[in-house]
Amino acid sequence: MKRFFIQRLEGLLLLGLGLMIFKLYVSGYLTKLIAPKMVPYALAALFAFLVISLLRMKKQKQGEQYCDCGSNGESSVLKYGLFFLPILLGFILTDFTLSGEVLAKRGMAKQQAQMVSSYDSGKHANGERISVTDDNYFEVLDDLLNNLDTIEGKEIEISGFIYREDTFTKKQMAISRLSMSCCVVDATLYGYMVNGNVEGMKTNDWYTITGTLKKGSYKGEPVPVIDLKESKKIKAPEEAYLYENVQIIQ
Amino acid sequence: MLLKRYTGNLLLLILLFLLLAFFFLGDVFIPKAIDFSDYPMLHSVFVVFLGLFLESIPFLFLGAIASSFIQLFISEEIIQRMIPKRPLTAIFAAVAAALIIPVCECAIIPVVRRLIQKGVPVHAGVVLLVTAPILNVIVFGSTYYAFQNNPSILYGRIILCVLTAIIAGLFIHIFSTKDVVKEDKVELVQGHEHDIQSSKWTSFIDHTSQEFFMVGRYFIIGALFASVFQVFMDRSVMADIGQAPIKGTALMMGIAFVLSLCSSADAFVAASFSHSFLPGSILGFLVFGPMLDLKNVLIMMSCFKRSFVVTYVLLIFAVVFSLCLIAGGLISKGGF
Repeated sequence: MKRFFIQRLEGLLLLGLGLMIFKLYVSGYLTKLIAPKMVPYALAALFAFLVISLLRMKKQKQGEQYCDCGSNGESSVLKYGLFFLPILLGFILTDFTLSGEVLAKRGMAKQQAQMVSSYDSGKHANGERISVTDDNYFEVLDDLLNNLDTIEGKEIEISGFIYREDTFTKKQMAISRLSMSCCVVDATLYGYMVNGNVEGMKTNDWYTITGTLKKGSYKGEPVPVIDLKESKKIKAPEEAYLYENVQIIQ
Repeated sequence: MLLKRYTGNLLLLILLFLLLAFFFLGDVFIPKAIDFSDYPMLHSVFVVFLGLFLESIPFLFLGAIASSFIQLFISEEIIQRMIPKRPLTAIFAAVAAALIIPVCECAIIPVVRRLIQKGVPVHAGVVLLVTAPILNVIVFGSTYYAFQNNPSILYGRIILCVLTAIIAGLFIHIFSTKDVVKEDKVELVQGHEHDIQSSKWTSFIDHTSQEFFMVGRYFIIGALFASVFQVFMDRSVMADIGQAPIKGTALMMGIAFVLSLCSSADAFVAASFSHSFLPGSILGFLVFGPMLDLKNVLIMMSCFKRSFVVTYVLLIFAVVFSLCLIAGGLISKGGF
C-alpha cells in the first residue's frame, strides 16, 4: 500500500520534471540556462521521464511484483519534497539573467586566445572599421589583443550590456557580453572598457555603441579600450549569451 | 485500510492538480505576487541552481539506467571473469575502461557502487571514480582550446589524473577494507527471482526510478550549496594570493570543490583564472574539481559508507595536492 503510494509519487514527480523541461523548451528559456549543445540531452531526459512516469503511474497487478522488503516509511515527504524545488522554479521563473552584483563578484575574464577558429591574424585589427557581431566576437577580441599596438584610432561598433565595478570612475564602464560553454553555472563575462561620458547609461541596460580604440589597461593587464562617440539604447536580444563552441571533429 | 488508500490517492490527485496549475499558470501569477528583482542574490541562486540541475539531470538519469542495467542483466560471474586478478593489472584495466566509457562524474558514481556490489575490487572502482570524469575526448578538447597557449596544462591534466588514479588505487588496495558500499534499503527485487521476462523489465523501471530519486535528492542538496557559493563568492579578492604556490594550489582546489563545475566546462573557467594563478594551481583546479566537488561528495554519501567517503576525500586531496606542487615546480623550470 505504502509502496504503491511512493511509486505513484515518483511517477508524478517524473511527470513534473518532464513538464518543467517541456515548458522551458517551448518558451525558449532553456537556452538561457544551458548551452544549445546540452539541449538534446535535456530533451532525451524529457522523453525518458515521461515514458517512465507513465509506466510508474500504471496500476501494478497486486501481489505479483511487490514484496514488502522495501518498506521505507521514514520521512518520504523530506526525501521527495526536495524535487518540488526545481520543478516549481522551472514553472515560475521568467527572468533568467544573473544580477549585476553577482557578475561584479566574478569580474571580467582576463582575455586571452581562446576557442578561436583559424582566421587571418590582423584581419580585423587592420580593417578600417570594426563591426562586432555574435559570430565574430571572440575572433575580434583575440585579434585586437594580439595587435594592441596598431589599433589606436580605429573605429569600432559593438553591442552589449553595461557592466560596472566598484573601482570604475564615473567616466568608465564596460560594454560586455556573457558566454557559456555548458550551462549558466560557467557563465563568463567578456567585455571592453569604455571611457567617456557614460554617467547616463544604466548598468545592465543594452546599448550599441561606436567609438575609437586605444590601448589601455584593466586590472593591470593591457587591453583594448573604447573612447565613446555615440551610443544608442537597444532592447536586450533574444540570444543574450554567446556560446563557446568546442568543435573537436571539424 | 480503505480510508488510508483514499487519502493517499486524494493527496496524489491534489499534487497532480497543483502541478498542472503551476505548469499552465505559474509564470503568469507568481512573478506578480513575488517580485524576484527585490532579492537579486536569491534570484541568482535559483537561476544558477536550475542551470546546474538541468545540465546534470540527463546524466544522473543515465547513471541510474546504467546502474540498474548492471544490477539486473549482468551477473557476478561475468564480472568476476572480466576483472584481472592482479591488483596492478586491474588498476590499468580500469584506466583503460575509463577512457572508453563516455560518462562524467554525475553518472559514474552509482555505476561504480553497483560494480563493487557485483564483486569488482574496491581499488579498481576507485580508479574508475578518479579517471572517468577526466579521461574522455570532450574534456581533452575543451582543455586544449582553453589553453592553446600553454599545452603543458593539457598534458599535465592527463598525466596527473592517471598518476592520482594509480597511487589512490594502490593505497586503497593495501589499506582499505572491502566493505564500503552503503546497503540500500530500497532493494526490492534482489533475492526475489522473478522468472517472467516482463517482470524483469518492470523491475528495471523500478530500479531506475528508485536509484534516480535516491541519488537525485543528494544531488539537489549539493547543487543548492554549490549555487550559493557560485553567487556569493568574490573571485577578485582571491587573485592576491595567486602567486604563492602552496596557498594558491590549496585555494584553487578549494574553489574547484565548491563551484562544482562539469568537467567538460571547467577548463574555460580555469582559463579565466590563469593570469592570476601559477600553472600548478590551475592544474589543481582542473584535476581535483572533476574528481571531487560538493555535489559529487553528496552523491557519494548516497552510495558509499561515510568512513569510505572520508578516506577517499582525504586521500584524493593529499595525492592531487602533492602531485600539483611537483608538477608546478617542473613546469616553472621548463622541464615539461
